[in-house]
Amino acid sequence: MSEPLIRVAGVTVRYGAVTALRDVSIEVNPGEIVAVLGPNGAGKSTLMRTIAGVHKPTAGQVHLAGAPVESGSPERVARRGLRLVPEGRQIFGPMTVEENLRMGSPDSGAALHDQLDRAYERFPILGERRRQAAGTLSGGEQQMLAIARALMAAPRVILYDEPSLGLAPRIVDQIFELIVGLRDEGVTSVVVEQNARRALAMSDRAYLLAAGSVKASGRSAEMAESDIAGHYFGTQR
Amino acid sequence: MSQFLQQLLNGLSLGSIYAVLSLGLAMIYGTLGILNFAYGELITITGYTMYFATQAGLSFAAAAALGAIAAAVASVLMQQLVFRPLQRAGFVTLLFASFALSEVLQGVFRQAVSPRAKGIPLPDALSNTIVLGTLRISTLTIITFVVAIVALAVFAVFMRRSRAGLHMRAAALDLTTTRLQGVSAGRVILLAFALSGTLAGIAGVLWISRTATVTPSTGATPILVGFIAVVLGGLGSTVGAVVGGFAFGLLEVFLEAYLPLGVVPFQFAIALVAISVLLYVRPEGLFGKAVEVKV
Repeated sequence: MSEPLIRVAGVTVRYGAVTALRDVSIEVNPGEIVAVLGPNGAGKSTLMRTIAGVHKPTAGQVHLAGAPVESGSPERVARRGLRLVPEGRQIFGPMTVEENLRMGSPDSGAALHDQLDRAYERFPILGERRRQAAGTLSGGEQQMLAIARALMAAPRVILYDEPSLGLAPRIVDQIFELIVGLRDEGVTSVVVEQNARRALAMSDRAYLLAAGSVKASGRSAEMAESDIAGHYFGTQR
Repeated sequence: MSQFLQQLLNGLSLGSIYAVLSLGLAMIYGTLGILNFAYGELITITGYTMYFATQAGLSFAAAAALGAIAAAVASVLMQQLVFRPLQRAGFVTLLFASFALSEVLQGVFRQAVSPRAKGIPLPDALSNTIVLGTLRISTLTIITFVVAIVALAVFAVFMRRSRAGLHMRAAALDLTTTRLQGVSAGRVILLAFALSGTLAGIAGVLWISRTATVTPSTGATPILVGFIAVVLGGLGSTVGAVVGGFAFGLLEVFLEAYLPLGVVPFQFAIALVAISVLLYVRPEGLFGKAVEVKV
């Protein structure tokens, strides 16, 4: 087995008196899709932002490709090939679609133009709206833009925080198909998702988070939905 | 009619200085949420640099260029020495830090230079007057307006066309998401202070060219005017700051020209009352965005 691309070892994150993550350990191998499931307030977004370098763990360590993540410096983590598609998309609304895509690229000149051409080829709707303010796009188009922006840097791994949030089922299908398609291109994915059934169906492995701790983990196909539902509804500890 | 046109030109010229001044202040607020009240001291630093440079025998143009550069360097030093160590502090802490910095610098100017005004010799060309029909326009009015408009245009092109400008606009919208794209927060912030200082330097040269003197408290009026223009235009909006600057310049000149003589001493107070009424009707300013508050 190759070395994990992401290794989270015994991570605890506190916001003042509140403990958002407690001794969390997860691993993500190259080429995998790993789902992180759990009810609201489980600490899923905190985990994503800690891996991306936004939050500093109070205890424990995060490694990316064998080297420690520079906590508190998300730009350095991004330059090492990790991109976060944040909850709520967080596109730059007043800027145009193309400017949002340029934000995702570390390059300029011909390399940037090649990346833009590839983005428009993959997402033709973004090409049609390249001069439009990103804030005027529909929710689904904004999610596509957030993913396209992440892909501009040809990342090794993409973290998706609630990619289906507020989207129509047809658009969710497209987004999940895209994530699976990207695995075939060698892009590793970690997907935080409330829709457990959908997430288990598309992922290779899954972790269940509740109250800031990992409650269960395993191969997605083998994880029982009934156990997961118990944690969502608080009937299982 | 000719008096109106005359005052319009004067107002546009003064407003263009205020616009450049306010833009530099708004930029730092937009990127970092800091209202830097030590920004006025950058104008004073420009003035003292011009004073010492002209005393050393340099031409006015060379002294002006050095003055603008000195303001940009001082702005970067402010960021590195004061605001960077306080980067995790809240708005009020940063506001008071900027007040403290302003007071420290004024104290240094008083002790190291002089509490008295220092004169800066202006070239004769700046005091010439051009007559166009019934209009009498000083070359200083024209040069001020042209320099300010060129500075604003260069700034706009830089922000629209350059990669660094794109990063700065994104950082002003959402710094964390900008960093998640691999953009260095440190570089964006440093550039914002350098640009803000350059704008303060250009505004400083134009300001000093009108007053021809510099004192330890030269920056007090510009920072007040800049703050008013930024609030009038809408906190966080660079376009609003420019429009606010022009609006306040025009308001000041027209009130001075058209108010009865006995009321002129209250000109500034009347301008502030007028702006207060406007902000009562539109609290977000001319170009600011209304913020929804959930209760």
